[in-house]
Amino acid sequence: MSMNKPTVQNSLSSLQARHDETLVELELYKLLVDNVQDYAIFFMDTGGYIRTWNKGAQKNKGYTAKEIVGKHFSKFYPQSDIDNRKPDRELELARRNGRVEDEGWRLRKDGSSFWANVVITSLYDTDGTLIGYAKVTRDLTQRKAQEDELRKTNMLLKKQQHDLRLLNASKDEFISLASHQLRTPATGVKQYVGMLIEGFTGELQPGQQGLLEKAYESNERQLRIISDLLKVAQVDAGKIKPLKTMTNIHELIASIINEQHDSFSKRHQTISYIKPTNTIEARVDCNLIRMVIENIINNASKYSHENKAVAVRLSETGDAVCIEVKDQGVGIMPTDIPRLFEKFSRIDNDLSSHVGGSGLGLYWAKKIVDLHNGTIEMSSVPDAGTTFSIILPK
Amino acid sequence: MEFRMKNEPTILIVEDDIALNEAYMTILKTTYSNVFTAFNGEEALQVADQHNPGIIFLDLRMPVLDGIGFLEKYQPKQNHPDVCIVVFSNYDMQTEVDRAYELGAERYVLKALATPGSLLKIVNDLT
Repeated sequence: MSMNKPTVQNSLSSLQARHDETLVELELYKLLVDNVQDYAIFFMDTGGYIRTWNKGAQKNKGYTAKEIVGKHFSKFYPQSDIDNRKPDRELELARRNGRVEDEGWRLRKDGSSFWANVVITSLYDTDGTLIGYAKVTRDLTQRKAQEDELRKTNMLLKKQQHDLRLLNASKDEFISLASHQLRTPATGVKQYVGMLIEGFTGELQPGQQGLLEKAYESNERQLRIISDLLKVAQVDAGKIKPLKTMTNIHELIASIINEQHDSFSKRHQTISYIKPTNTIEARVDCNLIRMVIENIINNASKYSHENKAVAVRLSETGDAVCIEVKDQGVGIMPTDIPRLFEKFSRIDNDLSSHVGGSGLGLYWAKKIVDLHNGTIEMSSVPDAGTTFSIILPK
Repeated sequence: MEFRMKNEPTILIVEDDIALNEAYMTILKTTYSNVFTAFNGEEALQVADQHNPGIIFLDLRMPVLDGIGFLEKYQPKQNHPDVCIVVFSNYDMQTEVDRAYELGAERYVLKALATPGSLLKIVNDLT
């Protein structure tokens, strides 16, 4: 391999080659900048006068190269900006920081305005002298319009949310007021029918006792529904604040089951309780949790036929207690499970027409358990039985 | 100086609902003879002044002068320490109940849960 001897011919041809390469590169750059349509890219001299113009700039601002080259770039600014010396300040910032970015209104040739994102970059030659600025402008009118729309929608949604909250609060107030008012006449019926049943007017005729007892029971049911409505209105309005104390859960359950014996024996049902071997305590509001457990146990009995058994079990994990109530009742269909904890949801099953209920018990129970940061879980097999588990943190 | 026979209490019922007022009157009159009623706190003050009751069943929500207003004027703790005040209401608001106890109420009963028999039992227990 012979080395090329440095000859004049060789130097000239390598110079030529580099020159051609540079020309090709320059051509490529020119092609690149000229043809970009989405951005106005142009060169301004140190005074701010426009020296080049690309397709994007024409599309963006409407001027042809012939119309705009040589003119000052402040032409694109609204009069108010010009009055505030904004164009000059932009150039100052570009000189000071190397570049400046701005978003604002700019003017087209036809006088219309568009929302622009503008970057002005200072350009220097090899010995550090400022030779001018590169300006890149993007039309963001559409994006701005979308953002404005979003902001408006957001504000509207916030207002609607606020209105709904007010509506919800007045709904709770109404339920509360109506329920309290309904309680009074229902209490009146309780006293008068009660007096007849309790023999205040002497002995009743054979047919009368039965009818009166039915009337009394119906009225009691009405009072229970009113009570449920009031409880739910209270919890919905956020008025329930659990008063948590360290509670022996075993004693609580034992006491509840004790009270349930009568109603269970009336239905020829049994209730069993598997005690824990050690002491199990948790910080709970005992009045509220008592009502929750009573609710679940009542349901277990109500939704089981006669001669069935309910089993209650108390257990614990490291940081929670679990109260499980298992029945041999009519069960719950998988399709009904999502609605179980909703307000006023009553499921059609074998016994539901016999069972008096407001459809509020489980909704309320879940809210109370939520307020204790606990959960209620359930599983069920139709016609075989249901298991409810109340899990409460210690 | 109050004079009250131990086994024959004077009872005052303060209740604004006419039907309930009459019902309670009827129930208590089966066993006790000195039973009086009032329909609001203002009336109750007058009746109490006149008859010196030993037991007052006091409703809380009433027009003209409500239960709490009555207690504030009647001042059971200071002026009538022998009188037993049973707050007998259908509004179970903890704040109201607390205030009633503060002012001298001794018991609280939810009307919707009280049967005729239980009303008599309360008086029986107190005398």
